[in-house]
Amino acid sequence: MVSEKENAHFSELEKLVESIKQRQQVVIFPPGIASFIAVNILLIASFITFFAPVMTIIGDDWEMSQKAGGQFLVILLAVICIVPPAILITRGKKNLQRWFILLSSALAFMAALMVVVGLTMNNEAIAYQSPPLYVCIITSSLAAFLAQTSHYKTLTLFYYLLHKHE
Amino acid sequence: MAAIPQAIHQNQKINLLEQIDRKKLFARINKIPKLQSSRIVFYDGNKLIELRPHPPMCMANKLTVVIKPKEKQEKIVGQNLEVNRQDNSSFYSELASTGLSCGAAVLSWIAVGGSSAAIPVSGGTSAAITILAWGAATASSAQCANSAYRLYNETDYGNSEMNAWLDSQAWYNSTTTVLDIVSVAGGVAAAGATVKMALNLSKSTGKSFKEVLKQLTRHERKRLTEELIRAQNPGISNKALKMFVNAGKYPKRYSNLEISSSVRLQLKDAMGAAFSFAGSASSGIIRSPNRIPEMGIAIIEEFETW
Repeated sequence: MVSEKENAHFSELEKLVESIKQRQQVVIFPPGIASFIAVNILLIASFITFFAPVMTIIGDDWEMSQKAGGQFLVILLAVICIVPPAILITRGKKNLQRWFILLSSALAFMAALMVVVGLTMNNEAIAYQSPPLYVCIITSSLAAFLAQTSHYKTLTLFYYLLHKHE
Repeated sequence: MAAIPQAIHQNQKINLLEQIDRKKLFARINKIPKLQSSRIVFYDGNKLIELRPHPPMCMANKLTVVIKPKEKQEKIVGQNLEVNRQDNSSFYSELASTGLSCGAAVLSWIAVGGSSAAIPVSGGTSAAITILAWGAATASSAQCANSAYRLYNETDYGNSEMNAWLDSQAWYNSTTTVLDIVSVAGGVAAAGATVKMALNLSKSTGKSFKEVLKQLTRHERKRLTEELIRAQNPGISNKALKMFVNAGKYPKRYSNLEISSSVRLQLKDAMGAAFSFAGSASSGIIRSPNRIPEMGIAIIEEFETW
């Protein structure tokens, strides 16, 4: 349900986008762009600080080549989960904002769960990897917060209107 | 009386033992796969103090790591290169590399996110440049993730041997080179657009970036706008240009804010290219720190004979 106030803002934004399309105006929206980029970079950091300790724990007795494979898989997963959705947002797919909220929340939850498991089950390997997991909780929570801000939402809406009739 | 200085010396050694951060020490030793299940003992010159016992399991060869404080004028031979490689300077070089890679990623995302919302002063970005910008954003994000993983490997929680092993692998170097090329190609495209913009600006105004960022006169802005319309519509006649302007398809003149915003965006793209170059140049640099060891470490292998 969209309120009247939001509707008024929507029509204002629509007018603005129309004038940009006609090359009569330029808009660079620093708060929106800043949160958009921050979410991407924070999610990369979250991915690494979550999956790298996981790989260290589960791959303790792996050979170097297997560990390298694991490392590449994590990097590939991070790129696949972050880059195409972010590009699609700039192409007007506004619903992908939810994907970023979901992804960052899921990472924060899984990292927190691992820390709790490590502490309560007295698992030394997990407990030792707690500091990177704390970093993951902080970065992914921050990413989840930024992906829900009005700046981020306005930016996704802006891109949506910009590419609406393409 | 000679017993008193000897007792002081002994106390110093015990103090040294207390100063050792055992968790950190064990983590460093564990980074060497062969020593992961080794016993660790501290030898103060008189007696052995066990810091970590052997794990309670059967092993073919039991290893013991002996740590001994270095005496004055005592020479230590046979340094372990694998341990030396885990120097703090590797951490800082990886940190700098991560900063550069992620800085390039930030700037390439600014290019992807911001360019669609700005007037292309360069005369309109082509589909090829847009795809290159996406490629650069993808490659620099992958490099950022890779650098972050390498940085993790250099911490006490990761395995710094992994970085050395990866650097020795041809496939790894090829992959990072490809990422570098894509990232740099995006940077070159951005730089190309910047050069094109510079030419447009100098053709119509005869002023530098800095001057353009400050202020352009109404007449200069009108000329620049006309140049841009011509760049976007090659061969357009003066009459058709005026018709486009009168019909409202193009503005009569861009405002100072619009022009300076576009110039700033182009400059950021050029900075992104510079970051990509710097990131590529900094990787693979070999550093060899010369730290003087204050402890002697010996590894003893136990074996049984019948």
